[in-house]
Parts: sequence; C-alpha cells; structure tokens
Amino acid sequence: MKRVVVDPVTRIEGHLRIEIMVDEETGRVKDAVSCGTMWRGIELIVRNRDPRDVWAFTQRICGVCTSIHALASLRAVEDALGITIPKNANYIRNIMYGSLQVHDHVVHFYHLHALDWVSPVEALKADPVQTAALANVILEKYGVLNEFMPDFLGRRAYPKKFPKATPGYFREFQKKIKKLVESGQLGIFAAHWWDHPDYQMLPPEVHLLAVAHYLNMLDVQRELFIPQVIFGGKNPHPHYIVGGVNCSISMDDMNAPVNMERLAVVEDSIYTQVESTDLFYIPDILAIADIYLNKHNWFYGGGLSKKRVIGYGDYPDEPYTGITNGDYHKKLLWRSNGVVEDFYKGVDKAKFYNLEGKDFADPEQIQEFVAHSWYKYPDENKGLHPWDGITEPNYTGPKEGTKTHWKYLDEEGKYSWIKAPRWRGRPCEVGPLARYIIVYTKVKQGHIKPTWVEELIVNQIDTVSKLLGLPPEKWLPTTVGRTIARALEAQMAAHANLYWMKKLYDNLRAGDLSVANMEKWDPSTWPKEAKGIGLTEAPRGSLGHWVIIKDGKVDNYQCVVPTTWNGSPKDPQGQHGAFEECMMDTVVKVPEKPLEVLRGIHSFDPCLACSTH
Amino acid sequence: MFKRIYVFSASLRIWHWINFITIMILFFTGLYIGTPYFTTSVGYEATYTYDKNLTMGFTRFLHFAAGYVLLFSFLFRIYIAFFRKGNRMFIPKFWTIEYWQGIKETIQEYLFIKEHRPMIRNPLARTAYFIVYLMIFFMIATGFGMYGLSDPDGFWASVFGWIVWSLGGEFEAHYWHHIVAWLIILFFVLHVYFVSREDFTHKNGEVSSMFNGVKFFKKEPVDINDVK
Amino acid sequence: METFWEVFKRHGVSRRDFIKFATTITGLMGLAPSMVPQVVKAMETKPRVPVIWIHGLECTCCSESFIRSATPLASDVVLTMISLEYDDTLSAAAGEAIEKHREKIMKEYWGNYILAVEGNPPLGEDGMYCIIGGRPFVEILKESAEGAKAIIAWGSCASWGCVQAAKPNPTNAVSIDKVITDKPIIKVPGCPPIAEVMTGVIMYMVLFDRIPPLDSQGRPKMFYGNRIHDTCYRRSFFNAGQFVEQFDDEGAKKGWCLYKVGCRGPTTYNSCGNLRWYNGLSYPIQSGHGCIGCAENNFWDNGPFYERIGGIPVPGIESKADKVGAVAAAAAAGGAILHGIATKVRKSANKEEE
Ligand code: HEM
Ligand code: HEM
Ligand code: NFV
Ligand code: SF4
Ligand code: SF4
Ligand code: F3S
Ligand SMILES: [Mg+2]
Repeated sequence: MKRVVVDPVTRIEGHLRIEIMVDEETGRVKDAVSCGTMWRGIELIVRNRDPRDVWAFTQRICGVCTSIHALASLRAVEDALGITIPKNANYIRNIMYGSLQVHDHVVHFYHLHALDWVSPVEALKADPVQTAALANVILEKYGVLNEFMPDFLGRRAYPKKFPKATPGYFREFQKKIKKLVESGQLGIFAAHWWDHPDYQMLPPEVHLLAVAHYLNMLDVQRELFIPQVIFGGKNPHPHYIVGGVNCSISMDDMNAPVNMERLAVVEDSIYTQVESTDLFYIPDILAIADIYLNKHNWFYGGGLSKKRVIGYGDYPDEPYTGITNGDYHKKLLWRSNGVVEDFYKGVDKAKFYNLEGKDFADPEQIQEFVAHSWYKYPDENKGLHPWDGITEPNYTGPKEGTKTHWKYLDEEGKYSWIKAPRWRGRPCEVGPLARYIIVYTKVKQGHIKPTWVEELIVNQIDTVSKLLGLPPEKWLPTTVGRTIARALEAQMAAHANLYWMKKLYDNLRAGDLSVANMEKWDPSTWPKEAKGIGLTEAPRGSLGHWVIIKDGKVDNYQCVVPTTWNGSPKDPQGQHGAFEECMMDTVVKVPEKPLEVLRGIHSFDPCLACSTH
Repeated sequence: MFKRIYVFSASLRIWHWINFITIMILFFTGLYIGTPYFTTSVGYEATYTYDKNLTMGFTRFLHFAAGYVLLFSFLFRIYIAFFRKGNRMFIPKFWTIEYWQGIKETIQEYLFIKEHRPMIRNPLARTAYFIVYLMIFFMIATGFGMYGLSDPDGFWASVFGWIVWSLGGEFEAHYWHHIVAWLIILFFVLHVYFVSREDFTHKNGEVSSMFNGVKFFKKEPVDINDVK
Repeated sequence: METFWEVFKRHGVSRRDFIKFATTITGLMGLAPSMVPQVVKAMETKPRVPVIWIHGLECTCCSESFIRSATPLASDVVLTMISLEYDDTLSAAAGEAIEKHREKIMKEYWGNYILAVEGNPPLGEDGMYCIIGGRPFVEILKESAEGAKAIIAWGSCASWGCVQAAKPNPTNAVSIDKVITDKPIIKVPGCPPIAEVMTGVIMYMVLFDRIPPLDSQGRPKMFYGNRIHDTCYRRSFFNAGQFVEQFDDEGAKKGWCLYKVGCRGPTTYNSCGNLRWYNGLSYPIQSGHGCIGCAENNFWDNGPFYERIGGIPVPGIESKADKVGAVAAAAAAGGAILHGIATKVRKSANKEEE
C-alpha cells in the first residue's frame, strides 16, 4: 500500500489536501482523506452585526461563486423578517444568479478542469486541418441539444460567438502554443504530469481544439457576468439590498441605474451566455466524454452520487412569502429539492425522499458533525442543526509530523477544517449532478408535473443518453457524468436567463417598476427575535444559511455550504463524504501521479473558502 | 473697593469672538454636511442649483470659508501669545503644587463646600481651555486634511494629510471630526455656564472681561503673577 | 532581467552544460530533439517576468477580478507580458510538483521575480488556519518574499486584512506588510480591486521595469489618488442637495446622490468613479447602491453600511453620533441650570446668614 499526498490541490478555489492509500498491484485507491486546509471564521465575524449588512460579509466567503452567499443571506434575513421582494427584484436576482451559474461552470470546465483531460503538449502534435474538420463534426453531432433549447426573446440575428473551425484558426493557436513551449517559460502550464498515459486517451486534434477554446473562453468569460455589473455595479461581489435589489428602474430619468440601454446590455450578455454554452461548452465536453466512456470505458469517480444525492431547489418563478413557511418551494421552477438514493440501479429503482420548507427547520434532518473536524462540540457523537450550530475551532495537528509541518493526517482523529453535514445522519453528494439526478427521478417517477425547466432537464439527459448510447444510471453517476451535468446546467441557466428577461420586460410593460420592498427596512419594525433560512442552488451544490436575529442584531449564523457537503471528512459513524468516496472508486495508473484522482476531485469544482468559511 | 486688573488684550478679545462666531458657523454647517436634513433645491437642475439655494455645495463653501477663518485666527492666537503674559494664561501648570491646590478649591466651590480664593483664572478653567485649544487644532488638522485630500499631492494634503492616515483613514477622520465637533459644543455649554456663574458668585466682571478686558478683585488674586 | 544563459554563466556553468540542460528540458517538455536549438535560443533571449502568485486566507475574488480585465485582456497578460509560474487557481500542476517548481523558479530568478500575494496570513494557532503543503502559509509567504524584487499585495486582504480580520478576527489574520517589512510592497486594495487596475499595475511594471509611483499608504497613485466622491458622476446631485432618502424612492430612480443611504464614496480612495468596472461599464453607485468602502482599511468594522458615520458604541445602547451629542449637550445644559439654581439658593442663604 502506498500513501500519496497531493497538497496543494491546484485549479480549485482555496486550499485542499488529499491523501490516498493506493494498492500498488491493482492501482485501486483503498482509502482516501480529504482535508480543507483553511478557516476564517466568517460565522463568528457576522455575529452582532446589522442583518442588513450580512450579505456583504458572507458574499466574501467566496469570490468564485461570488454573489451566491449574498443571495442565501438575503433570503435568510428576508425569511426571518417576513419580507417579500417585488417581482422585478425576483427576476433580476434570478438573472444575476443564472449568470453566475453560466460563468462559474464555463470557467470551471475550461480553466480549472480541462487540463485534466487535455494538454498543450499533445496539442502540438495535432493537424490543424484535421482539427478544423473535427470541430465541425463535433458541432454537428453534439449540437443536437440546441434544437430544443428555447429562445424566449428571439432577438439574435445570428450567433455572435461562434467557434471558428478553420485550419488557419487552429494553426495560429498551435503556433502560439508552440512559441510558449519553446520559450522555456511554460507559465501556468509548467511542471505538470504531461507525461501521464491518460493524455494519450484523446486524439491530438481534440487537445488542440480544447486548448484553443481554453484561451478563447479565457477572454469571453468576462462578458458572461455583465448582468451582475449592470444590476449590482461590479463583479466579483456585486451589491444587493435586503428587500430587493438596489438598481432602480426608470424610463423617465436619464440618470436611472436601469433604463432601456442597460437592459439591452444585459440582454446581449445573456445571448453570449447562450452561445458560449450551446456552441462551445456542450459540444466540447460531449466530444471528450464520448471518447472517455465509449472508447476507454472510463466510468470511475461516481462515488457517493450512486448512493445518495441531495438538493434544495431554486428559481422562484414569482416572489414568495417565506422559505420556512413552505411558500418558496411552491413557487419554484426548478424543484431539485429532495434526496435520491441508489440512482445507479436505474431511475425506476431509485428511492426518492421529499424535502421542503419545514424540513429545513427540523432539527433531525440536516445536521453538522465535527468528530473528524477541527472544531469543538459539547458532545461530538451528536450532530447539531444549524440554528443550534456552534463554530469553535479546535486544531489538533497531524498523525505524523509536527503541528506545523505535516507528514500524514490523522484519519482516525480530527483532520480537516471542514465540518461534516449529514441528512438524517447520512452523507450526500450535492451539485449539478445531484440536481439533475433528483429532477430526472422526480419527473420520471411521477412525483411532479414538470415545469418547462424540469422538462428541459429531462430532455437534455435523454438526448445525451441517446448520443452516448448509454442509460442515464450508467453515465451520470461518474466523474464524466458530473462534468456533463454541469455543462447541461449551464446551458439550461443561459436559456432560463432569456426567460427571466422576458418576464422582466413584460412586468415593466405592465407598469410595475418597483425593485425593493422597504416596509421592513427600519429595525424598529422587526420582532425582538426572529429565525430564518436562506436556500439556493449554488454552482457547486445546495447552499443554506441559517440565521437567528435578536434585538436587531445577528445572534447566530451558520452556513452549510456545497463543498462542506462534498468535501466533508468522516462523521462519527465513519461514513465518508463525496470527495473521499469518489477517490476510493478510482484506479490510478501511476500512483505518484494520480491524475485520475485529481480529475475526479476537480469534477466537483471544489471550493475550499466556501467549505470552511 | 474692587481692585481693577487688566487681563485680556484687545487682540485676545477680538480673537475670542471671531473664534466663537466661526465655530458656531462651522458647527451648524458641519451638522448639515453630516446629515443634510433639509434640501431646498429639489426640482432644479443640479448643475444650476449651486449658488441659487442653501445647498450642500453652498453649505460646504460656508464651512470651508469659516474653516479658513478659524485657521488664521488660530495662528493669530498663537502669534499673540508671544507678546503678553496674559495671553498665555491657559497653560495649566500641573507641575506646580499651586495647580493642584487650585483644582481642589475649585471643585470644593462647585460642590458648595467653600469658595475658592480669588483667582484670575482657576486651574480647572485653564485645563479646559488647554483642551479646547487642542480640539480646535484637531478640527483644523482633520478638516484641512479631508479638505486637502481631494488633491493628494497638493499643499493642504502635504500639511495635514498625515492626520487622516494616522487616524486610520478617511472614514475615521470624518468620524472623529464629527465627534470632536460635539465635544466642542459640550465645552461651549459648560463654558458659558461657568463664566456666568463666576460672574454671579464672585462679582468680578467675568463676562464683561471678554469685552473690556478687565476683571475686579477685592483681594489680590493668587495668580496675579500671570498677568504682571 | 538576466536571461537563463546569463544566470548560468554567473553560476560558472559552461556552455556545454548549458546546452545539455536545454536538451534535457526539451525532452521534459515533450518536444522532439529537433527543437533543441529553438529552446536554446529561447533561453538566451530575455525572458518574460516570472510571477509567483500565492494565496493565503482569501476568497479568490482577486484572481477572478484579474481575469475580467479587458484592456489588457487577461490572456495577453498571462501569456505575453508575464510568466505566471505559480498560481493555486490557474496552474496545471499540483502537489509536490508545483511546490518544487516554485522553489526552482525562485532559485533561477532570485531577485528578479515578482511575488503577488492574494489573501493574507493568519498568525493564530501558529499559522495553521491556512496551510499549504502541510506548512503554515505565513512560512511560504516569508520564504517566497525573500528573493522577490517586488511584492504586490492584491486586494484588501493582503493590503489591510479584509473580512477575516474584521472583529473579532478569529484567526488573527494580518495584512502582509505586518510580516514582510524589508521589501517594497505595492498595495492594490479593493474587495476585489478593479480588473484593469490589477493588470494596469502589472503592465506598468513590465513596461517600465520599476514599481509604479506610490502614495503614502503604498498604493499606486494613478489608481488610488482620488476619493470616489471626488470623481463620482452623481457629485452634482450631492452639491445640489439632491439625495436618495430610501432605496427605490423617486430620488433613486432619478439617480441622485446616495450619501444619505450610507455611501462611503466620500471616504474611499479607488478608481470606481473614473475607470469604473468592466472598462467603464458601471460601478456600485451607478447601480444604485452606495459604496461600502471596500478599498479602505477597516471598512468592515465601519458599519453599518447604510448609515454614514456609524454609531457611537455607548455601552448598552448604540446610537448615532448626532443623537448622543445632542443628548450630552442638553444634559450639560440641564446640569448647568440645576447647578446654577443651587448656587443661587446657596448664595441667598449665605446672605441671610450674614
Ligand atoms: C470647530 C470647528 C469645526 C466644526 C465644529 C466642524 C464640524 C463638522 C462636522 C460636524 C462635519 C460633518 C462630519 C461628517 O459627518 O462627515 C464636518 C465636516 C467637514 N469639515 Fe468641519 N468642522 C470644523 C472645522 C473645520 C475646519 C477648520 C475645516 C477645514 C477646512 C473643516 C472641514 C471639513 C470638511 C472637509 C468636512 C467634510 C465635508 C464633506 O465630507 O463633505 N472643518 N465638520
Ligand atoms: C465655541 C464657543 C467658545 C469657545 C471655543 C471659547 C473659548 C474660550 C477660550 C479658549 C478662552 C480662554 C482664552 C485664553 O485666555 O486663552 C475663553 C475665555 C472666555 N470666554 Fe469663551 N469661548 C466660547 C464662547 C464664549 C461665549 C459665548 C462667552 C460669553 C458668555 C464666552 C466668554 C468667555 C469669557 C468671559 C472668557 C474669560 C474667562 C476666563 O478668564 O476664564 N466664551 N473662551
Ligand atoms: N461550495 C461552494 Fe461555493 C459554490 N458554488 C458556495 O456556496 O464556491 Ni466558491
Ligand atoms: S480582498 Fe475581498 S475580494 Fe479579494 S480575496 Fe479578499 S475578501 Fe476576496
Ligand atoms: S453617490 Fe456617494 S460618492 Fe457619489 S456624490 Fe454621492 S456621496 Fe459622493
Ligand atoms: S464598494 Fe468598492 S467597488 Fe468601488 S464604489 Fe466602493 S470602492
Ligand atoms: Mg458552517
């Protein structure tokens, strides 16, 4: 047995360490440890502050999924204080949220994940003519998803961001890459395991295509976030207010934050989102996935997603009166709320458990454990519901090495700054894959009559299954499936943004310009004590903030974050989180260069600043 | 009969009243700057309202104009201190036994235990004036610091910019400028009371002294040397 | 900056060994042996400025902001202006490979590389609130700083401490200038800084081969010279006394000044008013929200954000400065009046006794 450490894990957000125990004969990972190696204590910092300010603090939990913690915080505070936001604010928040989904997923695939599949060194071997031909084939074949993607506005004369598929285009890229390599200064491409055999799994032309799009999308990604810059003034970290949004709308005042021109800028950006996902992201990922699954039988990394996934639901179609009172879940277009077990057995055999409103307030459903985390609880065998949550650091050091210089972590004791969230005491995977599995199961098993978003999701999954020639239970709960689900979700979000935009226009046309409900702005209108829950589907998975407000100040605040779920260490019963399960599911070709494991971990899009906060 | 003592030079008296008027203007314009509680320009084109109404722009103009007056009168106050002993009476001589004795007596008087000996200026008052001079300087420094930093390489920023940074930044400078404004007002209220009281209890012409420069004593005041 | 060949020469390496080294790395890079002459040529010409970009306690929004730059585009900066040799977020390599590479670059370019720091070191628990490669980040920071020719402090985290250093600062996080005291540090505050400010700083350093002119706080003058208030397009409404009284009121629709809903523009130095975000597209104030002062030291503890001057923390109550001031002045006046009455009563009593 060989113990291999990868620390730091790069191309993620924040600081993560993994340790794997590899059976050298089979290459199979027998045991795995995931450790969040940073902690800031944001939950303690927001205490005693004005609840109307907290969105800004929690927003700084992460600048990659920027704005999602602001949204969760606003929803939690509004839930506590009984504030219903105006329609326009709901649509605008949904657009800002959807833009995050698209941006975060695109950047994850091209800039944080792609280099697990493709290599600039291999790209040099490609034939530009062949690459151009391949690009056309890929667009043709995998572009079929675009055929049923709705365009609610229909205002694009032709796509402005279209992949170039000419030999000259690829030749120029190849020249640039060659020049870079020849300079001896590889920069961000330096020192990687480019000699790993897995880089031979794709033809060089796919490498060149993907590396070209890596660079292309590095420049395009900024445009995907323009809606946040218009509505929130900046990105990362746009501004919001409790009760709605700050960007007042007027068609009578030339200095208004939002007028016709501003809306046109947003609309243009949304079409860029649509084109980036329809014409780049989806074809690129499906081309790579097809080869990995069908040519190389690479089905690793499903891990916990096979056993249990959880989701909370998002996209309130219209404003709701509260989350704890159940109204939020009644208004959703995207009801990914619930738990699905055993999806790998097939969608008919999977088990579904509903989860809504009051369940999030139930002290027995969602709890966090710290038996293997560097925190202190009065009784560490028990979990705590977030409203009763405690965040008290308790660093204990490694198993081997010194307090400040580790060799190996202590997997029997405490070993991570991440807490361990559990649902009814069980670990769950969260993320795009979880959401897609849940919606698919709910619709196919007939638990819900699908909305247009849900129907779209089912359609996407069925179409990809047909393209790959594999049933969903085979390809979805894998590393590859996790990466595809994220792309499908980005595509859905881009098209949903067209929908929100249309709703916004319609409402403005009807004469409603309001963007903020200020009735309960003044703390004197608040109850002495109030509790709230803010839920959302963050890019990396389900996110919840739980707040208790006393005398106008935050009394307790707890965030249970997607990467807290996925990256969690073991619980008192020894059950592993999703990262650990995913690694244990994998076979590595070169134990000291565990590219397969890295690829699996990256497929979650880990965010460690989020996970520990 | 009362002994007539010439205490305050004309320069000092003129300074005092200019100072008083300036600080009143600064305080009320400052409060408005802090919280613009009424506005009179609504309905006008912003660009053209500046000189037409009592606007933020005009209020700030008044504040800065008064600020300049305060600065130059303060410099003048320092200048005249070199020429007359009576102009240096605010210095609390806390290194002397006499100072602490005087503090004790003054407190005793204010607690109605017994009257203090005749003094041209009691040490408690001296201490208060000393502090108020510091506060005025603080207001000038923070005021011109904030004022000057719209041109960070300019003259005022180079003279007073430092105080903004040593307070921690602009926010802190505004904060303390605002707080000390109120402390000066607090001083002002108590000051007016105590000088009037002094006048009433000791019949020494205290209030009128800031107009005509003289105070009256039955016996020789203990700190007579400070004006001789 | 020295080329590879010059560095080798300085270390007494022969031309033959140099060619041998070039051959080896050609192989390492997966290139054909026919490429050796090109590699040698590359190593003899002036290299791009190597940048080591490390991350402490942070949220990575500074990196995110950086790649939003439009002029210059981030791709051009990363591939033609600098050589980003180490970066947790973008580097392909991981684990020991990337840590070894950092050490190698430091050695090869000793005194010539730029260290960019995003986030900051926590000093609590011996630095173990932020761990990289099983070691405290603060150690990596000090080590990486040693051979750097200049250090860039990205964002409010590295420059001031930012959110994790807000009260009660559970990890004892500090700005990097508390730990590195013997090197020029360029502070580029903001939470995050504006993208074009970040690339602008880099571009200046590459083009002029020196650090940009800094103000007394260590910030580049060309980007932090003015208060937002002094460059704000809503300033004429401020001067005119036309204010938003409450979000989404008439004034908000008219785009009036946000002073009364807590705007920190008057106390914040940043380029938001002139450059704006996204190459001039917008900035918080343009979207109708006051500035929260994100480029300023301590801005998290200067809340609440929707009040201009914050409260006076009188124990028990927390109140606005003007309220406390007025109450104190009134109390003083009341006290004076009472004391005055008492004085009068005493005096008459004394007279009667006489
Ligand atoms: C005793 C003297 C003074 C008093 C009582 C006073 C009072 C005030 C007050 C209450 C404010 C509002 C602070 C805030 O809430 O931000 C203010 C602002 C200000 N004062 Fe003064 N001040 C005095 C002297 C000065 C002087 C000498 C100057 C020098 C020019 C000055 C310049 C300013 C400036 C620049 C501001 C900020 C204006 C703005 O932000 O628009 N002040 N003052
Ligand atoms: C903001 C308002 C005021 C300030 C800052 C202020 C400040 C001062 C200072 C610094 C002195 C000592 C001068 C020296 O010897 O260096 C003084 C003396 C005096 N002030 Fe004022 N003053 C104010 C308003 C007034 C008013 C309204 C009156 C009228 C009742 C007044 C009456 C006097 C008198 C009678 C003295 C002489 C008292 C003594 O010798 O102890 N002051 N004031
Ligand atoms: N995990 C996580 Fe986040 C996300 N998505 C947030 O809630 O990444 Ni920064
Ligand atoms: S300065 Fe702000 S945006 Fe940048 S890393 Fe720190 S918290 Fe994030
Ligand atoms: S909006 Fe803010 S920065 Fe702009 S003028 Fe008003 S107070 Fe100044
Ligand atoms: S909040 Fe920050 S982004 Fe600019 S307007 Fe204020 S400095
Ligand atoms: Mg938490």
